[in-house]
Amino acid sequence: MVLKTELCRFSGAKICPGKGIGFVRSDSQVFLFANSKCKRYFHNRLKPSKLTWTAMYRKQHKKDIAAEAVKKRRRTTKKPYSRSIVGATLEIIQKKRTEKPEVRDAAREAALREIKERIKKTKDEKKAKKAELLNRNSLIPDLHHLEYRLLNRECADKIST
Amino acid sequence: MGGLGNNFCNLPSTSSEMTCGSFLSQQQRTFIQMRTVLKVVDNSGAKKVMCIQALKGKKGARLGDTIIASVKEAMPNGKVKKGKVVYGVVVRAAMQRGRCDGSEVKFDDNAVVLVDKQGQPIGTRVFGPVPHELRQKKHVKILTLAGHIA
Repeated sequence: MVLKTELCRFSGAKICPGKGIGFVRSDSQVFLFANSKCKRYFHNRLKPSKLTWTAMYRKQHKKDIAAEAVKKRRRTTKKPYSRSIVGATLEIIQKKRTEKPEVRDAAREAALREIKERIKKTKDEKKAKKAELLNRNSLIPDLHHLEYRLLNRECADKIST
Repeated sequence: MGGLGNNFCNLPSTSSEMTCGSFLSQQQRTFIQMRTVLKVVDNSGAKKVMCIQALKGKKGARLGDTIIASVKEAMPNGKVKKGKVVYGVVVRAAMQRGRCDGSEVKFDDNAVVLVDKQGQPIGTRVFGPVPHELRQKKHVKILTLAGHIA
């Protein structure tokens, strides 16, 4: 059975089993000191954050932290979580995910082309309709004129009566 | 604030009767012997007891030992009155006590829990931390009443 190596409350050093001094304060707080040096400083109310050799000082003044920071960054990569939603079942989601970019581009282009053609078709239809109307009107240009004259005559009659 | 210039105050004094409360003092803590005043940390009614006799131990009582004490200060309505002679178990001692794994423990003050002749505590509650050592001395009842076991 291996006893746990504790950490000194003052200096941050490891306390091997069999060493060290423990101090229980009246408020039930337990302090562990690695040696009588730490204990003495603690009782003399010196602050570990002001003593260069303690772990607390080193942490506060950021010594040797660069190496630790590099290691820690690697762990935070989220895994893509696959679950079926109301709009799309799991198979559809997976199929969409595994689609290659070329396929996707080709599909997109095809869709765009379709839309363009549809627009073109409607435009052409509209043009054709317009052209038809104009043609009809140009064939009988006097009809328009005749109507105009009829209208005028009616108005004149009304005014005279 | 601990590094004041008057370092001459830091001389170790071996007298256990020195009640100097200055934070710069590094006393040599010794046993609990006759005329040692201890704090009572249960609700038996007493507040301070003075040790009359340390049972077991030529030099004095240590952490976990039983003592005979006389009540010096008591609460007005309690089970124990002033002037009564009682037995007590030392639950906190300023003198360090070696543990079986090699480390040492020491507490901040000297405290005692009043018991009867059979070893059962008189009070019903125990305040503050108590050490593991009581289990070996068969004071299991005190351990169960304790709030914090150090």
